Amino acid sequence: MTSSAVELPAHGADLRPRAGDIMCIVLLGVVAMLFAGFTAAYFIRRPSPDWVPIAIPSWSWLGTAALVVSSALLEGARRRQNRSLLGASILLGFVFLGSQVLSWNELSAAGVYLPSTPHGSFYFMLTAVHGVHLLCGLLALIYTAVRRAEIRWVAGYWHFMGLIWLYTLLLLAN
Amino acid sequence: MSESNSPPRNPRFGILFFVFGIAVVGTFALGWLPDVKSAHGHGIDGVIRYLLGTTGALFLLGCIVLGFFVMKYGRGEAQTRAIVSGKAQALWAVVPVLIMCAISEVGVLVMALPVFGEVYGEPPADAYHVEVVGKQFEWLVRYPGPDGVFGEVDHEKVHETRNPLGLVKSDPAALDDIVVRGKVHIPVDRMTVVHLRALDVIHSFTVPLFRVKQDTLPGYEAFTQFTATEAGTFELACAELCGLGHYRMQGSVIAESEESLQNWLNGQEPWL
Amino acid sequence: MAVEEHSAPTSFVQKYIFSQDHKVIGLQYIFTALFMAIVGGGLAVMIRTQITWPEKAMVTPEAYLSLVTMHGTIMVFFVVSLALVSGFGNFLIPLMIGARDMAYPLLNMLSYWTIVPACLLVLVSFVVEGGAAAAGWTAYPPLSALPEAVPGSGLGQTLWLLAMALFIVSFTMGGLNYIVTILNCRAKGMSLMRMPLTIWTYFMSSILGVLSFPPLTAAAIMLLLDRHGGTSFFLPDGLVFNNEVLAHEGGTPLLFQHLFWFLGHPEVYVLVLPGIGITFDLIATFARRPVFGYKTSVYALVVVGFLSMIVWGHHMYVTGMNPYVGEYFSVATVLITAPFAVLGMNLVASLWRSRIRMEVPMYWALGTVAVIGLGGFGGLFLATSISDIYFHDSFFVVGHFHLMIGVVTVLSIFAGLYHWFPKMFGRVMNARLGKLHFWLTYVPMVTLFFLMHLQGMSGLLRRYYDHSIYEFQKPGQELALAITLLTYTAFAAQGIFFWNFFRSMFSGEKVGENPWNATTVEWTTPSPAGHGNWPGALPVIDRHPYDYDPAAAEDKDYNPQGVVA
Repeated sequence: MTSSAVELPAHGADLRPRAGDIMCIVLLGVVAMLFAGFTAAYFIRRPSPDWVPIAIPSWSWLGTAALVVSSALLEGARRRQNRSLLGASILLGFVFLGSQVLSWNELSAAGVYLPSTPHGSFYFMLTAVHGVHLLCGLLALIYTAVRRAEIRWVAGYWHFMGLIWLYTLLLLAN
Repeated sequence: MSESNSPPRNPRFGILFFVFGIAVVGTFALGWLPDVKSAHGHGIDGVIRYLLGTTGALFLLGCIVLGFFVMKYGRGEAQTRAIVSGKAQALWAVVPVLIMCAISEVGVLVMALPVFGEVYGEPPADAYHVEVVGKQFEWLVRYPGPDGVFGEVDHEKVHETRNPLGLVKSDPAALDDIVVRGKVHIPVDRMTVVHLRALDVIHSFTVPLFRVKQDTLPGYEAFTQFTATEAGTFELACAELCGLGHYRMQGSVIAESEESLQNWLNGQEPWL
Repeated sequence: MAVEEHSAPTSFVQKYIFSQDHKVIGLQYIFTALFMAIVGGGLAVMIRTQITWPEKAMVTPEAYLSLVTMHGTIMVFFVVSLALVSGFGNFLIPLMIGARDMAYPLLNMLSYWTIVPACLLVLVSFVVEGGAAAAGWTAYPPLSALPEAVPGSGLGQTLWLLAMALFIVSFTMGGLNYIVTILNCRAKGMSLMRMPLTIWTYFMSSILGVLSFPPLTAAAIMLLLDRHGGTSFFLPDGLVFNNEVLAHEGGTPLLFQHLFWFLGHPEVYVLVLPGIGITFDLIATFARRPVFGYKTSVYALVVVGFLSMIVWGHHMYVTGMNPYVGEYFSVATVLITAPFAVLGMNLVASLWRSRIRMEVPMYWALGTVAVIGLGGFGGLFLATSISDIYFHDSFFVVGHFHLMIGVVTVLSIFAGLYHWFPKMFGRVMNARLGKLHFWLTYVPMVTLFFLMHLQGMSGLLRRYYDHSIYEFQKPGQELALAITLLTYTAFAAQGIFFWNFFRSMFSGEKVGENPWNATTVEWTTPSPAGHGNWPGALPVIDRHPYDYDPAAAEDKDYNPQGVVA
């Protein structure tokens, strides 16, 4: 039905940016705007007297490390066309998601649930939204590995998800 | 089909636009604004009339030009020198930009700014204060009583019939507060500051003849201020969708002389 | 050429159901929108009937609020956006830029099939317990967050939120596709400044849309959590229902409004800009001369787009937002009249020294120009914060936004359907019926929404089940009967269109590839266009899109933009 191979327009012949680059940049713009909306909400909600801060779960730090290393490995995979690095990167992506599940457990064990405190509500919500986007990225990475497709754009998306994660942690830690 | 020798012509179609322009401007000119009974309301009406005059003139001009072009060029005669330079086209664009920036910003920054000061500026020290609280589906009105202070309220204490505003008995300032359903008594010729709250959803306090409108948000205290210029009873309605009874949240604002107002207040029992 | 190509479909399912062809997908969107328009129009008829004869109480207050809510939601998202942005956008973009299809045909197909469950959720919500959402298309909390506040805020509101989430996903997929296609798949020789203005407007519309929807997504997620997760993003302390204080605390209803209108304002430009673009193209084609001020129009579109993203607060002047912030929004909003006036002037000036052919599409296009003026000027009364104090939530607002996103857009949709019908089906629609449809649609619709401005000026408020309780609403109410009769007329007149549209599809007069003698490249494909659009090589562009010459002989007064080998 459809050819799954990505057919690229003649790149040198004219000065147009590559389609995948445009797609990637705009998509990342969309994700950025989503988190911008959440950021606005965060700062507007924060001053309320019912804001009881929570501690960032310790499992989140492991997850952060996994995600950062995953990005580094993915960059390596992209530059050196190394598929096993790609595999390791995917594995670490799963480690990240696993650590997030454990983070959520950590919080509920401490009695912090979604409605308990607005800080906690934002933690659960932002990590869930990020997690869903990351899962999509993970599926895209798996597809890239299986179909031996170009890594460039999935890598861009993955790195951006890492940046969003760091940004989210930074936001939540304040 | 237009491939053949005679494309369809209808220059008289342009008449539609003459009719359109004249009908619109003419009907607006009949005057649809209701009476105005507040000080700043005259300012608001002034802004509206300014906009009616300026946009009306421009719209009429646009319709006349459009209609004229359709009639003249709808005849289908060959046209020479139809294409002007890019520079000329760019220069022409400056005209609407200048006109619209001028008209619109004169509206906001010249006509409207003084009214902004009246509506949102600091009220004078001798202003009259009253509180109006919106709830599904009525207006609860609270007068601060002789001490001039609104007592504390606690929503935990709210009860529809026994204590609709949740006045706190232990607060002495609350003991002389007067609570009335739906009737806002205010003085004529002295600024009234209305403290606005809501108990359940967003409502909006509007008195059209005073040109007053301000949303009441739960969890937030809003204010609006105005000076009634004429005595009388004026309708109060809700202007933000608040549920099934939105259309029947009827209240009234009674503007009266200082003496009459004081008499009325003296005759009221405090709620608690 | 498409970034990803698809081979010619063979089975019925591949051709007409799960098609990846932009033309089929465009028509799928349009047909879906036409169906939803009957629903949305029917809701309008019911609304008008209720408020003209409130003493008869033809619907309950609960039902009435669902009617107004769903009428707005369906019309904005599932009719106008669906037909004009998704439908025509899909159909026209590859054809007008000389491409075989969109950059990502599979993504395109997915975007349509995501909209279908959204439509179903919207329709189903009418029959669930509590009825359809009833907090207005604007869905402000606390009203939209609490089932105890109004019945529609039960399951109906949840289904509404889920439908909107699917809509936003679908729109984003489509918008991404449009942006990549326009930037990357233009035929050789088609620089950005040689694109038809229609394409420029789709480009701006897509950028605005994809960037402004996400904050609404954030708001929808938070509203869902407030409704079902016990959170308090939007719900403050002390909410009292039935003498009980709810457990929520600390949230801000105003936050939702900021996030909603951050989308809400650009959204109206997402809708109206393609209508303006189509109007420009049709005027050039039927006035037989180039658009006046092509370049300044492009700049004006960009300025409108940019400004539209920083003025959302003009929907919130009386909400309790800081009035100085409100003044900023007012100063910024009224500036939009400047580029808009450039577009208006260029539309009118494009008729100067022209040679007008009054084919059916031209009736619609010319009519649209006048409405852009009326609706646009009306906006100033609302943009100026001080006058808005009086007009907010009145019928003046209802009249204004209907003119812009309900008349300019609808007229353009009809204009487009009559104009590109040959490209879709290889035939023309009957012209006599087309003109009848025009008069019976244009005059009633423009008149009735204009009358609503007068109602608003006299004080009539919106979303009221029954206006008769108040004295101050009586003068406005006197116009209600006329407005309702005009509504009935306009609604019934669409029967003429549907008859003409479907009949002409099968037995309309057949035409060749360029029945209008137009210059843009979609008119160098067969009528109807087939798989891959051009049977041979793609066109090569060697000039601007409106090379018409009103001085030349009438059968030789144009030079097509694209040369097909």
